[in-house]
Amino acid sequence: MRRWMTGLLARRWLALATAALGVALAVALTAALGLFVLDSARGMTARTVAKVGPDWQVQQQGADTANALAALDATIPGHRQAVVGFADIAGLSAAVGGTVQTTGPGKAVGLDLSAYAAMFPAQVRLMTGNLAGAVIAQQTAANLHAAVGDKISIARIGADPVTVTVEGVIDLPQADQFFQQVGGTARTGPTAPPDNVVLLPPDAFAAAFGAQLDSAPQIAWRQLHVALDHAALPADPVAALTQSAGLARHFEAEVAGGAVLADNLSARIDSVRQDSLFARVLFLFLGLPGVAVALLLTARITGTGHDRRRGELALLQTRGMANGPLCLRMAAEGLLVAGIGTAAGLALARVLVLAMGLDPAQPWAWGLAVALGFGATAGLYGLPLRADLARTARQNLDPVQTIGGLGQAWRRMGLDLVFLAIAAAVFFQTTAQGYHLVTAPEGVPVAAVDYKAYLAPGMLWLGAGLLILRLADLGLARGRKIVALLIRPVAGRYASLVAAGIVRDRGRIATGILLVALTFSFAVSTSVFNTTYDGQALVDAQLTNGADVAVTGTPDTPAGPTLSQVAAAPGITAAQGMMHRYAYVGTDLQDIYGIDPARIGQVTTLSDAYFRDIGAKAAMAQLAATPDGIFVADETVTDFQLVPGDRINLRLRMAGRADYSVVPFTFVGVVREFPTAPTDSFLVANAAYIAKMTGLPSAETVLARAGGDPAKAGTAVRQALAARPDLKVTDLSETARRIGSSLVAVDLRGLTALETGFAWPLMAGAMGLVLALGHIERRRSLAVLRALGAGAGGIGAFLWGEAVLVLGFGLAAGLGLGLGLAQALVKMITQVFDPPPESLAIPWPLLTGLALAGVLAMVLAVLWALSPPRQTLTFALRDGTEG
Amino acid sequence: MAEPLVRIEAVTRRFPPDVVAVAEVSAQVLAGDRIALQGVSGSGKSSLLALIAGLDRPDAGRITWPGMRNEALRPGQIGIAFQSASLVPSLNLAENLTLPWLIADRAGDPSRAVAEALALVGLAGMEDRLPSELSGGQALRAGVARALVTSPRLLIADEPTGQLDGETGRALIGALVEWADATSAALIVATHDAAVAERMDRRWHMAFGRVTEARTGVPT
Repeated sequence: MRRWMTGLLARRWLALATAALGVALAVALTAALGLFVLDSARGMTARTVAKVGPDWQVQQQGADTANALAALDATIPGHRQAVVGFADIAGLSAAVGGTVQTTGPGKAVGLDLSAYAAMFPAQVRLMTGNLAGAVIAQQTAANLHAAVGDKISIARIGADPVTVTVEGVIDLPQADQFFQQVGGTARTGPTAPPDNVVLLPPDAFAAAFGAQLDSAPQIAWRQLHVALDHAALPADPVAALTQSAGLARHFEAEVAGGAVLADNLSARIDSVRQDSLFARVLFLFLGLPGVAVALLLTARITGTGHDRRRGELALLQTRGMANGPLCLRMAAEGLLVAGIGTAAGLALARVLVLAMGLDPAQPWAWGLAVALGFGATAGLYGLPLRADLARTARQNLDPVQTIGGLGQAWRRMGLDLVFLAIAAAVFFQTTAQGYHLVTAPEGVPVAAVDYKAYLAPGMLWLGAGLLILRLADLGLARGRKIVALLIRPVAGRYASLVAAGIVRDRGRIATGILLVALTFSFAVSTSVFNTTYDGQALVDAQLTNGADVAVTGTPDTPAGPTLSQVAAAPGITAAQGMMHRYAYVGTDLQDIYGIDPARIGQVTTLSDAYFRDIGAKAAMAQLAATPDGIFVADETVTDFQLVPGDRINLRLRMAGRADYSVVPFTFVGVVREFPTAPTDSFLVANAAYIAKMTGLPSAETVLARAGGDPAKAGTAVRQALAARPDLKVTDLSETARRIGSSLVAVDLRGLTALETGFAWPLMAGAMGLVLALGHIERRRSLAVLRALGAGAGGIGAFLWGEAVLVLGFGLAAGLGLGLGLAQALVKMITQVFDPPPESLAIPWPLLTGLALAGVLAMVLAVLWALSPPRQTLTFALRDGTEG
Repeated sequence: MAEPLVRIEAVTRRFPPDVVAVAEVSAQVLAGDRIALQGVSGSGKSSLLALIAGLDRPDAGRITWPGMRNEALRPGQIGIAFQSASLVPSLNLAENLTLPWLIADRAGDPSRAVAEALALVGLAGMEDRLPSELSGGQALRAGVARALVTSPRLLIADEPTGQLDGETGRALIGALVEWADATSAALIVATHDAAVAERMDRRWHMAFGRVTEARTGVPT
């Protein structure tokens, strides 16, 4: 047995090495992909928990929070908490401008708002004034027509009203979560947040609602809003959920019914757990075709040596060797290929993951790769061996028929068409329903993951692959004249003869076309999907950040005066100021953006999707042509029945005055999205007009475009503005990591590098090996041509003709399939983007490069076949049969 | 006197590790020669034929083709029918026989030449058959027909009757001799069959790589 193995290594090393290379590629891609997927989930957990407001909202049964605090201290080390009081109120009223406005029921909240905003920055957005005194919500200010400095009356339930002075107006972006009902059946679960909210400092709240807190817990109550130590959470979302949910149960056991808990952290991790599962399937789906292609290539390689192995088996059978030792000897080649290929694949994967900065300590990924390496090799060698062992030595000596078309049962059953029909049905059903990542309109967001949707691209891949095989076989069978015409430029006067050979050998040619098509489609689908995904994530991030780099100030401390410093910072190519203020539209306080429409395009990208019925360029031209023009939100147009040209009177803050005064604008169009703007209603107007009418010329925000890496440019701007800590500098890279759902926030660059990295050797390998193996299988025919006197022209006609056909049709089919798959995947997740992608982003340079790699491999394979043989023609002609 | 078609001068061909297939052979092939090459298996017949056909090169000595035109030897001037079936499996007989026509860069339609060559070896009307649809003997005869398509000046046939029954073999050799007579081509046939050798004018006997001419009993 040892001599057998040594002989294999010495005499069949090339066959073993090529097969092992195929296995190595499949193993390496599987391991690296698995590690990437597991690692990406870790990043998703960290990003998601960073965005949670209070991790827990603990409601004490009774007025005192001491028991809950004691239980927290006992069970949760390293936590921080804020005490928040809530009280139902009958309404609010304000006497402003000679009229009295009164609202319906609402809520009074008692908390140290400055400290709370520092602890949970995503919960509070100050719009005007300050957080030190009584503060009202934006909607409440609109309802009451109240502004900073106005007095409002709080109608307590069962007690006299109290009056407070408004010190600030805020927005509560996560009001659903903040006001969620905690504890008991009646108070658990999402409810709509109140429209009328006043927030009081703790002392003022205690003075106003202390008696109710003690005697009427159904009207007034306290909660503890708790921030846990996120660093202690496991990286994996599943483990993190187990731990956070366990911690919550531990706390509930400790308070023994004395308090109830809203576990926002677990709810959020649960959503990211769903996201991570979705992402895992998505990434695996992008990568698995690559693994399949590597295995198909390996199958092609091992298939080429099958006749040789059958011959060896026949010799051993003839000599009467028993089945046991026979199996062992015949399995030796497979074992060597599995061992060498798997080891090489694991080594390659380790180098790759370390280079990508991924954590290699993931036993599952390595185990899966090893199982694939040995399992696939066992199948590729074991199944044919099993069939061969059932035959006699005489039967095994007969060559396998190597020419002809395809005769598989799937063709008769129409399996390709069935798969495609299923793909179409699932695709249209999925896109009709839409894939909604975040679904709960009220309360804590949760994810709804439609795994069934993956059936569409899966079936498309299978169905299209089989259809390519069917069409190639059918086209070659019936298109001999067309084939001859196509290959005439390379086959010359041999074209008709070469075409005849190709038509009769169409099964092998069609399989070659399929292999090249699947390989190229893997490269196309992954690169197109990843480019579209990354590009859209960037658009999303740019919409949020405003530009590559944004410097944000306030009306009191505007960033505008730093414009020249920002523009001069290294890496910045253009900078522009943009006003961001607030204006009353009727009673509604909205964000208003003042821009220079002629220059805003220099610093940020405006998509056509931002405006209704008009492109971005035309919208800016219209604004520039209308000095008092203004774009408003859809909702505002509906509310006020506006038509273009209508006059709109807004109230804006004037220079040197605390109150708001009327400024007339002309309605010119509808804006849906704008850089840095919130998702609800806002306004866009000319900065010069706002400055002229309000007497306040400074821009609150400065937007800048970076010539290169936005992160580096952001750092340079931060350094340039080091003396202005009151200004906030954000760059596109950090915003891209911070914003959006966890799925959008996943950085696909690593996956792109990984998959395109494998696409190169697979593309070259598919084309080169398909042709080289074809040449090996037909070595006797090539020797005959040489013996007949054919030179490079004659032999080349056969080789080039076949190569051009395989590569040409393979690339065309691969491009079509790849684009189809990418389109299906992008369409499936289109709703996670804001705005959704308008079209696929195709990385033509990369795809051209990959196609050229295929061409290069083709040229090398043909030149290799054309090179003079090592053995004499006499021996080549005697060297057995073809196949 | 006309130049010989092939001049072989002290030609030796060795194969690793230490096999001397052809040992210092000197001979000439003249136009119109009918040569039977005989010898036991392994005596070097096929190696010598490969050298004469230009398929292989000698390790020592010299082989020249002074009587040939100054163009490629195969397949226009030397036709060769191999010992084993050597048809391209994906081409039918007509296409297989068209190959040398194209390789020799012959102008015009090869159909007539193909049909005549097939008829000569007894395979008339089998143009559309694939090699896999032929018996071993038919495939060998098709190989002979392919060697004839370009009307070469020298036809080399390596055991063309090895897989044929006696009658078919005799018919094939008869046809080849007739064809050679008609075209003034030289003919070298390697054979174990004494009856085939009887049809030839000269008989080279090979043993241990060396050739003696049976007609004279002296080395060629």
